[in-house]
Amino acid sequence: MMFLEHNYTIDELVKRCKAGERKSQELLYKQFASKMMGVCLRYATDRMEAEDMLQNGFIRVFQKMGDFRGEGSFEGWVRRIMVHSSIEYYRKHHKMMQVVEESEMDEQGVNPVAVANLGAKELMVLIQKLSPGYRMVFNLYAIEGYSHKEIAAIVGITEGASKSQLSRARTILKEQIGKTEGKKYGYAG
Amino acid sequence: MDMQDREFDDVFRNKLDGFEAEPSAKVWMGIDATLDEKSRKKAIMPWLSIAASIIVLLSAGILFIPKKTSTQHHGEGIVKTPPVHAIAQPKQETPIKEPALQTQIAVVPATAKPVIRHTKKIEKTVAPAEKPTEQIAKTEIAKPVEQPILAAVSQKQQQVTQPVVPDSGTPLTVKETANYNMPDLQTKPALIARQQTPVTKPTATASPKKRGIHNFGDLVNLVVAKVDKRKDKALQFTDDDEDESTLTAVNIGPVKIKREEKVER
Repeated sequence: MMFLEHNYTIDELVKRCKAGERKSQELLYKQFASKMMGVCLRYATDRMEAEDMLQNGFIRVFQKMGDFRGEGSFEGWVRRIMVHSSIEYYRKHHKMMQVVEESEMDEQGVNPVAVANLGAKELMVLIQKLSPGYRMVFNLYAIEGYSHKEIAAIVGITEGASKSQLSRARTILKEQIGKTEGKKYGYAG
Repeated sequence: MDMQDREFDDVFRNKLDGFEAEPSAKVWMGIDATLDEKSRKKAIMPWLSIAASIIVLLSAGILFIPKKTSTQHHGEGIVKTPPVHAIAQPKQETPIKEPALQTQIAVVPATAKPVIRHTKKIEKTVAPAEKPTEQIAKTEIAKPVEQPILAAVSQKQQQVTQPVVPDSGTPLTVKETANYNMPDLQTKPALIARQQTPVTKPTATASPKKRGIHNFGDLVNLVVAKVDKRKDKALQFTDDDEDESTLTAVNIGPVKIKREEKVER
């Protein structure tokens, strides 16, 4: 196994993976697994779901490897596949579009310092608590940087729905952050 | 101290964009297994077609390569049954390197009307098939071989049999009587007796005339055409006026016989 593992460039690995070399596929997987797990976790409710998405995503990566023409970064390409795989997962497993119309929530002011103080893990937990539809739109817009038009196409909703779900998602997140903040500083003192 | 949406989003992006977490080992195992499964499915297809080709070739071989054993058995068959077309029923096991091996094909005229009925039966089952493939040919042709009416006689050169004309009243002709000795087992009538040596390689190629398949003879022609690319096929059937197939040409190695006209029956 002292097989020059660390000397493989991504390009070489990609070439070998295209040829269907299983060992190279494994190396490529190991190269990106943790990063892509981070992506999938944002779209999932828990680790189990995230791992399902990751698995499906990588299978698709290897099957579509031939389509990668080297335009743009390979990692970006893999990441897009992960995002699509995650959305696909909800298409299959959930009726994600059933947006529960909650009673009007007040726009809540959030202390920027409080948000900045939250660690990545805490933010992740907050996102995972969102309902799938909100979570998806928030992820696509705020983190992946897609436009509402693109989101509408990817998820299969209208642009208007994308906008309203985004603002709902933000409101819920702020509300949750407010609660944590309250616990941390308000009561525990 | 409110926060703009953009700033809010940025906090999430900055903290979560590079978020990493080690997935459990079963994820790779699942990927590995799925890729295996898909590649296995892909790999099976070519093997299936290879297997199909082998079956087709084998069945063709069974039909057209002379058989060296079972001489006695089939000889008796001829004695007992009403005379009919007898087709050599060769087996694959026949070693090609043994050129001494010879097969006799005897076409024996029927006193009543035996073959005809038999072939018609086959006709009916075969004809409806829209695309008669070699596989069909294999199964359909196999049937008559099992019947006692069809007899095959294969022998070593030394014990070559002679067609005799014992039946009274039946007009018989022996068309070809190359080098044979007096037989010790065959005693019943034979119209045509042929001595053949096993075919090894086709020499010339000629595309056969394309036509539909209407009867057993056509079916045999089809299969022969697939296997034997020579101008003169190992076996050739022609339709006669009664729309029955007759064996009109035999070409196995050095022995070539062609019946130009419809002669005696």
